[in-house]
Amino acid sequence: MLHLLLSMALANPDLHNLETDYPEQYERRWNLSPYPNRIGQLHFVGSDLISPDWIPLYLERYHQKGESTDVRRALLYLMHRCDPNLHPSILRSYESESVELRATIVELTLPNRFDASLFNLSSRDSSESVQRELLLAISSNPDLPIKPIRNALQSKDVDVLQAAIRAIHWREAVELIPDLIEQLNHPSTFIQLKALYALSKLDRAEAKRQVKRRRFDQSTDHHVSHLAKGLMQD
Amino acid sequence: EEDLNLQIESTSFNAQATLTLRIEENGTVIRSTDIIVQSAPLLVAHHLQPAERMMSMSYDGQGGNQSFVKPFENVLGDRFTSYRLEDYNFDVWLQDEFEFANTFTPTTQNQFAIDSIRDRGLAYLSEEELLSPDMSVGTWGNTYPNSQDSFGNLEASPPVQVGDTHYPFGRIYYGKWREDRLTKKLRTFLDEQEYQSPVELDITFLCVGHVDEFVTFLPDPTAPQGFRMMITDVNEGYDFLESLPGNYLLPLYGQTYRYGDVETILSDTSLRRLNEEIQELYIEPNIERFKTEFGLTDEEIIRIPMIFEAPRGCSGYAAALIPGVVNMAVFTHDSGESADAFIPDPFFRSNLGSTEGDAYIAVFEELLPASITPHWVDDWEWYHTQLGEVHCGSNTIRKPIENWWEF
Repeated sequence: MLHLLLSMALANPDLHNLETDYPEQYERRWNLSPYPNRIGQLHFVGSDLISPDWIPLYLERYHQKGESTDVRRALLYLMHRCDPNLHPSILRSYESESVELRATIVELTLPNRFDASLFNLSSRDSSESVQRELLLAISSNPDLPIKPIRNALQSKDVDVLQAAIRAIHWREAVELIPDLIEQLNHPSTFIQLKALYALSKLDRAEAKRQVKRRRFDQSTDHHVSHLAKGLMQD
Repeated sequence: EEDLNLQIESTSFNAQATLTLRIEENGTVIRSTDIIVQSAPLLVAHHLQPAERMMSMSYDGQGGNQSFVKPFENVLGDRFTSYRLEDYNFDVWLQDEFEFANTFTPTTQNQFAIDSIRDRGLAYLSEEELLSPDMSVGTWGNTYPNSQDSFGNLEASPPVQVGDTHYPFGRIYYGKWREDRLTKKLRTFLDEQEYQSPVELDITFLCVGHVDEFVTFLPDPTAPQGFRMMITDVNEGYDFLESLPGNYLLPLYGQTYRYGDVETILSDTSLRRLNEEIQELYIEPNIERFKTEFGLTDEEIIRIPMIFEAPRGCSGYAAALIPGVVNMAVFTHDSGESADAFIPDPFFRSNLGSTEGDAYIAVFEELLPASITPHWVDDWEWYHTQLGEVHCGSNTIRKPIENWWEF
């Protein structure tokens, strides 16, 4: 085990320095397991782990150690806590990664900056997980083009639809209001709620017209009727 | 002639049966009478019931959670039990694995752990550590679990009056997340107990999706019904932030969330939009439901400043940004009118070694009923950043206080 560590450390001088200067911490971080959070996702626990200095080791584990997808995903979150800009080698490996890791790479990169290559790859990615993370990134990053939103509104995945509706609202994409109104026909009252709320923020008068036309104040969904009644009281 | 003392063991809770007693003489029935017998219901514990014991998981290895465990040990002494975290696959979420309830008669009392179908690292703890002559364990349901089957999502209010109906043991409440609900067998069973007539709340704004993330109840003898409900409110949250100088430093938030001061939180327009939506679509409608279904008035409701964020790995759904103070562990005293409360430390300050000067704690302690003694618990790394808080990482056994057969 030590021989293997030494071999890797020699191939990467940053790793070598960490192993030489901090052997106990190196050994601990190399073997540390992530723990399940409240929804069962694995995450590394410990504020002492958060330091850009240790990224070379985490990166080595990510690329070389043969860890499971869940552990590699935990390593991505850990590296992101150390430095919001993931190492370029991670982005270069995007296309070869599993859907879970592709979605996580998008989640951790595009809300912070416009990486054209990653944006284009994720826009063409058919995975619903990736689409969802791309749309959430578009919601909060004004530098990202909004073009993927319209296609996403055809999705049958409720989380993708919700993210698309959020993107229309947060990016104030008023040209997509007709698409938003179309979502009021969705059979899921959850999507109706999200679409009506987004519409109320972009065009309150139109939202009130839709409430009256569709009688949303009488919806069996308490949250839809609550929103609708609030709009009618204006 | 002697009184006949007949004890009957039932295999069902809150079940009625007819017992026919006959006196026979030479094979002839000379007297017969029918008696309706009812087995005790299973009653989920609420926060006005005195606590007997509190518990959490503990790990004293490198980077362990002793800063979480120590306040409980220091305050509660032998009324606190910890279990070795490393024996249970590092699953800290003790609240989620089982919910304590009581079943009792005029002559017997039994504690009961409703064991969830969640079955993660803590799956065997109830059988290994809790099952005893004084504590029964049972599970309802065998479907593939969702997050709503965790028991941070199963709670009971204190006794309430709703119109003409009095609920002497409070009402159970749990959350649904889109179509994901508490498993049907358990919902049906809880409905059948009748006394705590459950209420289902829509909590689809949350990533984890448990009712303990945004609401709790605290004993307060000055309140109309002897308690206050504490619920998160993001308008109060933003008012709180805006009352502070923009350069108010938040080193721990800077390290974890990159919000190094109050101004960076306030200037995040996406965060504000998320919170506005949560308040309008979920918190206000749920407050309305608490008023109609639990008979609560504004006087009984304390709105707590809170800001939510969309954490990594949560697909845009929310969890507390400031540690969720309503997600506290309540150790109620024997009077049922006061309690020690173990509350997530908000770390809303620069000096992380002391709670002195924490602007959030100052505001929150003004809102806390005088009957509550707060103990601030460092749950940041093991719990808060892992989408849970103090209540999620603990559990409490309580004593029953009312006699169901009198109602």
